[in-house]
Amino acid sequence: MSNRLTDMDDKSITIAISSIPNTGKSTLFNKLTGAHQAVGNWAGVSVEKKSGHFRLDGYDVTLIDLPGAYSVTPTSIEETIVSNYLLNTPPDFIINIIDARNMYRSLGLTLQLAQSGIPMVVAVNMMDEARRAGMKIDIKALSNHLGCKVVPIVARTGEGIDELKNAILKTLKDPSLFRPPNISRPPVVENAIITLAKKIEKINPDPVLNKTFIAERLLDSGELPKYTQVDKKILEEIVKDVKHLRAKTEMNLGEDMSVTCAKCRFNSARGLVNEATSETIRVPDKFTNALDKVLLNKYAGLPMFFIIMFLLFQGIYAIGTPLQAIIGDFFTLMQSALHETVIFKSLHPFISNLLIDGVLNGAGIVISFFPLIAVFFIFMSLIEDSGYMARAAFLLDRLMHSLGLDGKAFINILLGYGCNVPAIMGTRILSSRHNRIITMLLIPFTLCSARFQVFVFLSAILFAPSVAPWVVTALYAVSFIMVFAIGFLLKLFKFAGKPEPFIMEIPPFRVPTLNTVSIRAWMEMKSFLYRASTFIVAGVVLVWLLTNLPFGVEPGSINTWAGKIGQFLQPVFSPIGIGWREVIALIFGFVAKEIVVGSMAVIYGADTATQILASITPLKGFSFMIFTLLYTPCIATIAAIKSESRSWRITGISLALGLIIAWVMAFIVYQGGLLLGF
Amino acid sequence: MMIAENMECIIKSVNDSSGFGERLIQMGVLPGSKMRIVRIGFRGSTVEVVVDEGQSIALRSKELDVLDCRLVSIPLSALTPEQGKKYRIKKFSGGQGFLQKMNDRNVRISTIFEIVDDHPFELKTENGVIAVGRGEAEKIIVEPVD
Repeated sequence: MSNRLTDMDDKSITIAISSIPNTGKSTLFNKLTGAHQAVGNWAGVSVEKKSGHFRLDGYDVTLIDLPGAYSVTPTSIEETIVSNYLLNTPPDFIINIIDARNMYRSLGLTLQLAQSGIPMVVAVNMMDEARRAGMKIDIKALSNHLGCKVVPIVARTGEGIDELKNAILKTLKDPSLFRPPNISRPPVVENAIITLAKKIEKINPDPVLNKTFIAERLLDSGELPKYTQVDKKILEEIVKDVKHLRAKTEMNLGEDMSVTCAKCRFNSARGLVNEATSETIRVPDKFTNALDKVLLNKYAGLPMFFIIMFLLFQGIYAIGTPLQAIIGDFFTLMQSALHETVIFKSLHPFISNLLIDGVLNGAGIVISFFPLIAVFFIFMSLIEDSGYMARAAFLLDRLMHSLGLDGKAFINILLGYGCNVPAIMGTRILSSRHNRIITMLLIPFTLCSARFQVFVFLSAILFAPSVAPWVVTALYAVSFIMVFAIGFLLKLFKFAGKPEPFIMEIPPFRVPTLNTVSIRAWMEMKSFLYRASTFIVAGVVLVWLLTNLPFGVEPGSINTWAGKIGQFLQPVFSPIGIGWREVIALIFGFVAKEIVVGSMAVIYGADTATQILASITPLKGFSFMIFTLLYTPCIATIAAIKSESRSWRITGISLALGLIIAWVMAFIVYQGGLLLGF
Repeated sequence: MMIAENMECIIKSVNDSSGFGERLIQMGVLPGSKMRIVRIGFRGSTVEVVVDEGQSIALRSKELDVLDCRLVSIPLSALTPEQGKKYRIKKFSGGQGFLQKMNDRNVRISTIFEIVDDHPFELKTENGVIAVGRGEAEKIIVEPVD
């Protein structure tokens, strides 16, 4: 598309893209905006809001990605967002997507959107798959009935995207190309809608939204746009009228208003599908059926799942973790090299140390997570986009249901055993906020690879070579048990509210595209950089200050603030067998768990192993390891929880939960051990 | 609600207060929709159903209780003996050999029967009692006779 006009002349418009889940909405969004995307938050709720930009011959378009919704009649947070958005801040234009292979399931929403009165274009996606199945779609018939332009596309390959842009442009320039369609309703409903529409006409200053649409929304779900200019009394009267009309029609028809409205829509949808398609293909195609016979097999399904998870785990951490280590080493080298440079030598040692060991170290930690996050999301997108994620969720649903979660959460928790940070970022794929919050709170109790290093180091010093591996195994067992125990606890106290009903679509298998997968990985790295980096650097600097201040004391010694805190907290930690030196190590551990080992070397000085052996008994050591396992993993994890939950409360609860449970468990282990005579 | 793999039923009404039925309705799964249970997950708690419009969804069998369904067809193997309950054979989902075998034993489409025993299956028809193996019973799809 050529840009004849300059930026100054371009007209700014907002286009919202809306569809039901699994129709390739993100793919089309990515195709239209490229990587020009921003991620924010829907006001008041913690659901991701994606927006992007593209130019369209004379228009500067802001594209808003509305969450996947089956209907404008809300039954979930996502649908509430869509409904509120359309009613209160209607966009200039809507792009709706239909799944060519199964138009019926998409058309319910399409009809609602078309009735809203907001100009719209419909994209029929996945045309290639429909063609392959020998299905013909009468685009013209669809266009006639929906009252708007309909464009066949293949979002994955980009086929039809130019035609789609053209259709948008034409409709923008000639609004008469769009007219809201009529759907047939029982006479009682029709009359009720007409009565309400008349009342709305009097007060509605909004020329965009169709009065009939507002009337139907009112009747169906009782929602009304926020008319701030209108007298409250008039509004109250309308609400009263709605109640009355609804009761009357429900009585007359003998069923819920929402059922009647949905029936009207889907009856039209069914008729439209019959008219516009040559043949309905059975969506679970042959390939999907054959694969499901193996992957969801009663006996082979679970073993196959664990093999796939093993490969996934290996794939992510065999590539990601070494890269993380390499970047970490590079920064360590850079730090020691910088200490020797003239510039930093000329500075006050406190300033240069703060900059190098605090700020730069923090930046190094942020950057070292990049490869891990990239690899993690490449693999996650692969299993999600291919359709396997839904199968895995199906297989493990029984197990996770006992925690009030669904099967998808299992994968996140499992991946936490590699590294908590991407695992928490990955909770975004979970279906409800309830599931996201609970999973986010459970992941920090998984034994990640950084803690594993601490445990290998300490158990090798404190226990005989034949015992040490068992100690580490026992810690894994404790971690598994704690994840489930805490999960039960959170469910028991209904911590994140009621679980949402479980209705999960099982999409057909599909080959993921490089484009979607790579944009996803790139976006995740970007959002980690934006949202977590300041937090991480600030945390690292804070810990550095604690372990280096006041001026002139030996870093990490008893005279530092951290040492003072350690001594101050002595009464709290002595019942669990942890001395002030280990408390300092634990404070260092907030930065990253790997540092615990290094900091012990600093604190205990030369010949660390002998020193540790002399001052820590195996029981004290085990108690220390239990505490390390269960308390807050690291500053990057906290940052990830903060940026994913978008809530300080949840972040605080996660911190407190970790510390309290760590203390209680260490207390049980230590005091129990003493009683048993260890 | 009774559940069995390859069972089909038509939704009569949705009695819901949990939000589950409300969501199904907004997805286009309405009274009048036909539902087929494709597979039952580990220990029966999760099921995959295909709705007549072709979408495949996973649900929890417990939540299916809010649906009032009319049984349309079910494999014989999922049934148990019940005095006076009559079924009609609707179709066979086996190959040529199986069809021939059934024909030879006088088990034909539209045969009406009552289950006398299910270890193995003994079906009482108007022409006498027919014995059917468990494996065979999985391939005989029947419907209830009111």
